[in-house]
Amino acid sequence: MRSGLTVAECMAAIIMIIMPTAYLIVPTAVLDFAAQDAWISTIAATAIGGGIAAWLGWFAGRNGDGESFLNWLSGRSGRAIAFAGGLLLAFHFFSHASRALNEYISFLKVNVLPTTPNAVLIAVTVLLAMYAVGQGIVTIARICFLMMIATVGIYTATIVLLYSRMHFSYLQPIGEKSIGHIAAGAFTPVCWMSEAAIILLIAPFMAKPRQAPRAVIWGVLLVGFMMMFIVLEALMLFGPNVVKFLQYPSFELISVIQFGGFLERIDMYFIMFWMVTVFLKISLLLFGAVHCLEQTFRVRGGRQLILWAIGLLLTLDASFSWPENFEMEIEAFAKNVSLIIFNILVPFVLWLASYLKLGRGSKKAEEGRT
Amino acid sequence: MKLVKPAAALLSIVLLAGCWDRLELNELSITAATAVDWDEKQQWVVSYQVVIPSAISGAMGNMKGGASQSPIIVYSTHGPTIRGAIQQSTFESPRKLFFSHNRVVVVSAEAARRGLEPLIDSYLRNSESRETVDVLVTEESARSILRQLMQIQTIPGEGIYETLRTENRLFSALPSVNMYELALQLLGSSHNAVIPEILISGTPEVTNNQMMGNTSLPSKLRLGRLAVLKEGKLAGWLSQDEALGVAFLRNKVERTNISAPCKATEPTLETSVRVERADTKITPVRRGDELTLQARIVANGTLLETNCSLDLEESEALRQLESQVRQRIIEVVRSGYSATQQLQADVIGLADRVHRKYPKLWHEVEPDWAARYAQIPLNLQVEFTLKRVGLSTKSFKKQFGQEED
Repeated sequence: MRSGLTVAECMAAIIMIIMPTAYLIVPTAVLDFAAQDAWISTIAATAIGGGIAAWLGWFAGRNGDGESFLNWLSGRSGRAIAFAGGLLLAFHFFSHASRALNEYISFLKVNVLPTTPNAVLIAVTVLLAMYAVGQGIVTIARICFLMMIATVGIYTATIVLLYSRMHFSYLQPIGEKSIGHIAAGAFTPVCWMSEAAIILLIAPFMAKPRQAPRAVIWGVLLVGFMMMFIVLEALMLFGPNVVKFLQYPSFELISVIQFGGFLERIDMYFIMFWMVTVFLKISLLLFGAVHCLEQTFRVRGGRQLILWAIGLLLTLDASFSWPENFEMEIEAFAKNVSLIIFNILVPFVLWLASYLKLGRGSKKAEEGRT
Repeated sequence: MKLVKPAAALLSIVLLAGCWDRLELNELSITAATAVDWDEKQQWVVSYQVVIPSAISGAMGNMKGGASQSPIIVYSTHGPTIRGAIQQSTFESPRKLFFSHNRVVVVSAEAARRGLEPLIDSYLRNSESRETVDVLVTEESARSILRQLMQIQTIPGEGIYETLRTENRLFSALPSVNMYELALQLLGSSHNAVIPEILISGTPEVTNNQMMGNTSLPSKLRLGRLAVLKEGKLAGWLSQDEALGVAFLRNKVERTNISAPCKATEPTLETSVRVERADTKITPVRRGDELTLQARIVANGTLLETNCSLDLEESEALRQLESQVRQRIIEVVRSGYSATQQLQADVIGLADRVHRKYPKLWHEVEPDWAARYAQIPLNLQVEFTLKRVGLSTKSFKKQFGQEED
């Protein structure tokens, strides 16, 4: 049996860490600014996101020996920088897992399970994610790959079922919105694409870590394609004005599918599928938090303890620390800023530190080598 | 340690069963249709046509002279908001109202004149209401529409829905407009929309099963005119002919019937043709500051009936028939277009097309679009081809005349 991740599995993990919640939020976030030109925003975002992914992949690929990222960083830049970087990344993955959990629960409460207590929904999701993390990143990534294949079928089904209701004319007039509006529309997708930074952690688990750039670039390009696909679907079905009014247009698309009396109300099947992808996203983020803490504190044989502690903390954080829905606009902006900081700026500082070989540890390592 | 996994599995059964959101059939009031009225106390009155499952089979039996319990019950609640009124149902219903099988929403003209924004908001905001319900309007009390029983269809809400579908498929004058399509129309560039009318024709109302035992009902539900909404409020009506003209311009004709005279000089309509395909392209054309609506309709169909003295084997006779049908389509379309101009209601989607084709011009004319629309001339081209003439060649009148000679 293969022990490392293939490029396709790694790519699937990149897609699954971005798409599940982006699927909910991106259409409204982009159409709000760019209206009928939203698809241009997604193309621009894919170009920028692809550039960021290429850099992240290149950075991850430099650690070609399969050593864990923080250990490698410690060897290059010193223990202090690796420690600080590990803590920051652990905090980011943890808080982002909590945020994703909150978004997921909000959706479930509005659409599917209005009276089931939050605590139960959160606890069940966290337990599942903990189980997945306990199985390891290789298992999670392989399930991501299976879900990615299924996603192709789901996307194809939506095209077939919605095609007769789509209006290509809703895309016109093309280019009416200013470059500023199109750029503003591209901002949120770029922030989501930056989540590809998890490649830094999972590249060492690849069978050939030097192939990390390929995996992450393809992953982000596919994410860009999926985002454009959802935006186009929402746009051609509802037009720009209705989408702005909807909180979850991606699911509204499915809920209007109706063919006579024999095919209707199939949105629940799509929601069930989507829930599995959210479990994978939260599992990947939880893995990131646990892995960073494990490496930062150099825990040997105590992974289960960290996993349970983080799981409990995640349950409590997701239950009590998130604001109500009416603060969503501020929350969305804060989220985008935090994604930029932790997925782009922090890795950039870490890369700079490794490039400049800062810290005493690196000097010792250099001396050892000579 | 051996017990941990089985215990976790048992616990997960309890947690994953979703006990809090379970739905038991015997705890639900399944709503087949909803009506919205506005009363003299300035409150929303929401009525529900609730299915009585145990009576449905009885009602089916009633068609054969069996049980007499009504398959539905209608009741109403009042409130300052639509959802507020729905909430009041908890004071009088032992079961929770369940809207997932709701097929139609009937709105009274009075409520529609106040504006449909609260209704659309309520439907798009709540997951238990489906955006795929059809919306209709009535000049009488919307509640009375729900109380009326239907022939053939046991559940009237389902019957209204199917009637609308059938009309749509076979005549196409009245569109079936569901909640999301209504929102889409009202949020379009012109902010206008159309919804079909439903009415009770005849008296007294058929509201109990005893009356259903007769071979002929004194009153029945039927589709009427086309209501025109401007900025979400009811602004006027279009007759069925005008509605058909508008349907041609909106490219919504799936199949329809056109009756035409034998010759242009004759007033009586003696030929019927089934239009089986109609494809309309409308384009705004700008000349200077003036706009013209260019419409081109390409249609074909089958002859259903003629009382004209024609030998349909002669191509001249066919051309004559086609010309009369073409002329009749032009009349229907022009009457529909001018009716919308009189109402200053662009329901054909011209505003969207101007916006797409001439974005700069659109921003200039947008504030005054309604008045501008009323002035735009229609340049109409219709092509009609008679594809089939049915099972006989000459008209019976022609054949009969030849026999007498």
